[in-house]
Amino acid sequence: MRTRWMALLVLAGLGVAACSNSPSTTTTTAAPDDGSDGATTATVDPNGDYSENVPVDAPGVTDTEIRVGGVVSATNPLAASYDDAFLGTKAYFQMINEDYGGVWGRQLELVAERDDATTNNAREVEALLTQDDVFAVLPVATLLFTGADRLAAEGVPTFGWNVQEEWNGPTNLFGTRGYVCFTCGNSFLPWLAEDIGATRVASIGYNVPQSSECAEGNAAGIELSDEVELVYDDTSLQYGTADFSAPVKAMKEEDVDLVLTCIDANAAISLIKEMQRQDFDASVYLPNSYDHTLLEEFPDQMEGQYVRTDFAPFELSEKPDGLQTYLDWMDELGYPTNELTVAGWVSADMFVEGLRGAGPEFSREKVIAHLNGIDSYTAQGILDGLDWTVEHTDEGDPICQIVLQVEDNEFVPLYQDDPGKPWLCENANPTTVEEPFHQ
Amino acid sequence: MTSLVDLHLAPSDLVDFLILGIPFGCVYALLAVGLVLTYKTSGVFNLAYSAQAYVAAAVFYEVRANQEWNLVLAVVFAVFIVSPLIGLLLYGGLFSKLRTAPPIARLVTSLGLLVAIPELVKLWFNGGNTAYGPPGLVPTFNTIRFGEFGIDTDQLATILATVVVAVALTAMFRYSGLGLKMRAVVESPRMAQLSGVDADRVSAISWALSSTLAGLSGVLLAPLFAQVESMQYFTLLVAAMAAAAFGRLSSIPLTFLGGILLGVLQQLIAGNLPTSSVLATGIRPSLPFIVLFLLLLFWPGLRKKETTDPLSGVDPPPPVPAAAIRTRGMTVFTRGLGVVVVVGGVLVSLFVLDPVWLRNVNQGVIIALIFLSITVITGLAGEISLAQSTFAAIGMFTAAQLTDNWGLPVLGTIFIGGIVAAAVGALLAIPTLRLRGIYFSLATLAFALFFQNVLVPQEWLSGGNVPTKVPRPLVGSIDFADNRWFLLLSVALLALFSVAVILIRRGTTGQFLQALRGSERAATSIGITPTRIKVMAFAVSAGIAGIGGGLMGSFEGRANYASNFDFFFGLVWVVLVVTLGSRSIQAAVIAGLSFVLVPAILSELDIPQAWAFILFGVGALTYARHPEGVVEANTRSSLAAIQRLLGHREPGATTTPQPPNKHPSSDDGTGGMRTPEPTTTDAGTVP
Repeated sequence: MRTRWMALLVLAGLGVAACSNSPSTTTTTAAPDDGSDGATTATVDPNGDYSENVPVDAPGVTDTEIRVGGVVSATNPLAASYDDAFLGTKAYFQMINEDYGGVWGRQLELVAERDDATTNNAREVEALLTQDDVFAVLPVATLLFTGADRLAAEGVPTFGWNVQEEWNGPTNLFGTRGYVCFTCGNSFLPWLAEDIGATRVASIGYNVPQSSECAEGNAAGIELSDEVELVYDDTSLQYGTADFSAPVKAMKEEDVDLVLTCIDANAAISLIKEMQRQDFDASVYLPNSYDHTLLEEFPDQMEGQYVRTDFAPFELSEKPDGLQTYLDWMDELGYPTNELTVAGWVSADMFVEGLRGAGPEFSREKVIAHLNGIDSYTAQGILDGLDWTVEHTDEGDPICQIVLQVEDNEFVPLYQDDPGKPWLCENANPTTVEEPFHQ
Repeated sequence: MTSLVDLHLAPSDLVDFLILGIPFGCVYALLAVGLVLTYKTSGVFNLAYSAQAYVAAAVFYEVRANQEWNLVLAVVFAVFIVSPLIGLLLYGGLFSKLRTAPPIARLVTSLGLLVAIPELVKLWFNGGNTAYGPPGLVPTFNTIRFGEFGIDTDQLATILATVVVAVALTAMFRYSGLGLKMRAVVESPRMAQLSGVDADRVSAISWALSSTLAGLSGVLLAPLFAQVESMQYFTLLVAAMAAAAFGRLSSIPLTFLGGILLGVLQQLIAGNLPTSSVLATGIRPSLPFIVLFLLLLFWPGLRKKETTDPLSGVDPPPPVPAAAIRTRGMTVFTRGLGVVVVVGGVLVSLFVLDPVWLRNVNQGVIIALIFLSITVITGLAGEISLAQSTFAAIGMFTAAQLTDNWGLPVLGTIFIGGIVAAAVGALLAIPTLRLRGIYFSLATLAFALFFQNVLVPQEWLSGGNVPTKVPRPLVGSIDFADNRWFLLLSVALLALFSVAVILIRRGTTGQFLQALRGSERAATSIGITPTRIKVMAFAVSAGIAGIGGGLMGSFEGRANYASNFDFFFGLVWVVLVVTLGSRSIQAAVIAGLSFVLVPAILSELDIPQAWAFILFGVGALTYARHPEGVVEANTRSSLAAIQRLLGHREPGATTTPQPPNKHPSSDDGTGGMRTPEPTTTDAGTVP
């Protein structure tokens, strides 16, 4: 028996000595050259003529249609409706096909709506690329993004709701939220704290990377302020916990007046319920809770709390054109209005922008190149303006948001005193707390 | 900022932590009491208890929130009609057939239900939409104040219900004839029947009662969360296991106390550890699992051996393994056929399948390799480990870190990952293998949960937010970045380790393990050291899983823990492998391929992915009919049919169908899913 094991070990050793790592997987995966020449370009005229139909030799393209496919985590442990992203894309395509006759004489078709069931993202991405014969991948709205490397390596234009850092880097991946950095501190939070009169701030998150890194970013932001102090910082919560009694007790003892959270909306409700039990009256900042269903179900817990969006919220009194069109089409088709349908809609808009800008003899490379030359993409006002010349990397694009507070069971946008400029922005990588500028 | 550990607690602090700990302590206590009730009255350590609670919560939500039924009517329907009916259904359709099976067999069946039931419910529940705002048993949400603190009406209802349930159950077991009969039936249904007890009726009442309690828990605890979701109940249940262990799975008052203590201990830890320290981020989320693990190892009440039916020896002999009824010619034929099928399958995969299906088959082969680890620990050693996905993850993370930080060749790091996993397995085995049956399984589950909650979030191990890259191997001019080459590598490793497992089974270690499963006392008397052999088996098993994990990381290009090796996968794997046959390599391979291909096929057919888990879970229900595994059963019947067709049979071989195997012995092909060594006397067993 021992001889056999020795032989096995020797064989294994010989094998190891003779092998190395495949070069195709050891280098950093990046998309092929995006084809842009470094100059910035403007977005195309949405009402222009994009009907010219010339033969195009590209995957998923025929004389009459352009095929795309998407993947979402429809089956997920959070019971969240990620498949709503498909509705947003379908609505946008319907608008383009009906009102504009498609793009370059071709109808836009969402031919594949794949569910990665949370854990099968890489497989579903492979299927999109090899079975579904798609020109581009959209929308993507998943919990994990294990297919990112494959999409990056293939240079397929990809659009979606980016809540993972895998979106950063490859120049063919276009997230609706731009560059994401969980640990980056920003000066907006301490400014908000100062503005609402909070001086003692707490930050809480789970012990899982995304949440704890978000809390780290919050803490880094508060450190920028001389007037606001971070008096409680807790990233030791178990993901999915419903017991916040100890953190609330500690925050109460520390006289906290603003709680910054990096937890999901469900847990946020449990947190606020516990605060109510312990008669602890502090404001709560809930970056992930712009959710009308949540507000409808938990008005007592949501009242007075702050949420943020990185897209134009539905309550804006002066609605940008893109937002109004989105709302009209959602209403016409009976689709829900929420963050996921917005993500699906914006993904489709970005794709169409790239397609139109690529010209009648479009290709994947030309679509990517056109988008990467745009320094202010807004989806007709739904976004603050993504600078795709730098957005794939952390190179200084300003960070903008809209803050809302719940008042009388409604989300009310704050700081809307500059008409037509709903966004509050700050420069990236701040070193001090600065007054945000309107955009 | 809280930054120092302050263990000098003032009395007022202790009172505060007590007040804060009791409400959640009662949550644990309520679930733990339910677990103990089920175990005590049915002998089933029912992991599906949380699924039963979820069903009641879903039904209550549907009728109360969506249909707007009257509160009393909704409670009566969800808790006192639907819940006991589910209990009766589970007993009548399933557990009545497993009444005399060993506890570990029933554990596997409950695992199957845990996997299947929530997915079945989700198919209809709330139209697939998020079920926000679960209604509570108390119509309005109010807070009752005690100085600085408060208890809301939902919490108050939970506390009152827990106390009432604990007192009532304690009284029932201590003073009522029904309680005595329940315990007697669990001990030995046949002995109980000989004493004039209607064992069937008593068991049915037990199941209805425990299921009602599960339903009550489901409805009571729903308002803890913002939405009704099955995983939340399971998360609470695994934490509550520590309280059940404190109660030695038998004492209701101790279990109740255990729940309260756990709730208070959590508050003490949370209130006194620096909140963002490594210690706090490690200990706080994993406290229930650490407590469970320590209790299993050191709590005297849990170290006793599981009781078994003194009359178990009257069971009919088990069916003959398929291999034993083969003629020599048939053996050659089937093995030849096996080679043809494998080679043909590989060729088809390489040259016919499209990239997606090639990828699926590749993943299936890797999972099959990991499943061989279950063949070793369950099929040979007769133990159920719920940490096999953890060992696979250890192998994967080791390979990832060694290639990423040290630039070592990935093929070598995959094997090093296997060695590291084996070492961790051996270290875990040393203290845990003296535990028996479900206690060993629970210890491995506690370890898996500890690993997931404490170690996986660490950036140095998992890479943090973005999983660490793992390259493909390059051997000479062969670049395994091509999935076809990688499939050949995976198949080669699967074949290599299949042969290794066969050699182990046939060799001294396998014979020793078989002897230990037959009678540990007898084996010890002839010089076999149980601990050494079992530690070796566990280490080999962990090592195989580790190698499979490393291979998976290389195949996927990154060390993706969540999508491959979440602890819950480990539970599903056990169900699948045991259902198909834990002793059979053929079954491990089929199980591995099924685990990947069934969801892929469903996806192709636009059938909800939930059905994959339902199929896997429901598969465990066949365990009652085929404890040796479906593959083994089918192989036996196929061989019998072929030999009947050929019109001859080997002397001594039998093709006569055997009665259902309720009590398999060591050679029955059940993978050791048999009664552990009787506690009374070896004389009770059939020669």
